[in-house]
Amino acid sequence: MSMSDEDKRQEAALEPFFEDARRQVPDASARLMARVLQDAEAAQALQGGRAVARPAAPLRLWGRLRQGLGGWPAMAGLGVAGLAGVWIGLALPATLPGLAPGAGDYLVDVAPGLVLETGGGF
Amino acid sequence: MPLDAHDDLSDEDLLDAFARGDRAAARALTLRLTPRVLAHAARLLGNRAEAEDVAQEAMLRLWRQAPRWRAGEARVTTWLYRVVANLCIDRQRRLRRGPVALDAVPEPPDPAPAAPARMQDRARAEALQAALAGLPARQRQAVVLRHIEGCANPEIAAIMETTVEAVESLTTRGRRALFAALAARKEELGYVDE
Repeated sequence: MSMSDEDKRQEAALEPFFEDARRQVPDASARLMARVLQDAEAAQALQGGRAVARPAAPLRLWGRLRQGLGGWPAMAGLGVAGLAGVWIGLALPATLPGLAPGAGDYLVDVAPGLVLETGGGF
Repeated sequence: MPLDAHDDLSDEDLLDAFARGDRAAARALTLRLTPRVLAHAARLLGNRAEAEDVAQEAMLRLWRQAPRWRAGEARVTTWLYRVVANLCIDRQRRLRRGPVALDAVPEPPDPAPAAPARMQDRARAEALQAALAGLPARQRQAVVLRHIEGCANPEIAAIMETTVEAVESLTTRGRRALFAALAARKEELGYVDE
């Protein structure tokens, strides 16, 4: 809406009222200022300096894997289980203890035609 | 950091310092912004006591917003004017009563007996406030932002969440209504045409 001459005249006539109003800013009472400052300090204490901070960065692959498996406790359990597996593999005797003599009699060759090429004359 | 060290900082920088736990920034922002927020609320509501409550609530919302404030997105005052206007609208809806002109007039800065000039200032302020109170809420908000707070039209459009054209229309209609209410009182209030 463009201003007509009449609108301009009216604006000029009102300007002294506006000018006075601009000069007369109400005094904020000491009580109000104290209340506002108290709120500010309480908010700072609660927020602890950006405690409500920005959103966390997106997880990388390793982070997503860790989270998918159930976090650090699950990862620790997985590590222990892995190490136990390695130890069992290395410490296993040539024949399994407790395997009764003659137990091989119960073995069934499910593919008699299949000969494994193991090489080396074995 | 001493309080004077904050005088040169923008509102946005102060708010950033506030969010990092700077207590002097909290004081500087309180001193700088509370009177402005109070004045704006008083002009929109026409009631000093209600305006104080609105000012405190608006500042509280600013403190809570501080950690999430994104630099460069908006000016702090633009955001505050919008919050104040929304709070005033809520309050007026709740109270279901019109603005009261007299309470909005600023108190004299000292308790000295009112000199004639001061009485005239007060009469002028009351006359303007009464005329503003007669305007529809959006016109009053636009006129106050433009002519008393000194905001430019694009900023007013951002505060009022409307277009610059709509702001121009609101201020023009508001001024016409104010002129109709005040022109006859110019002489009585001591304004002399040059």
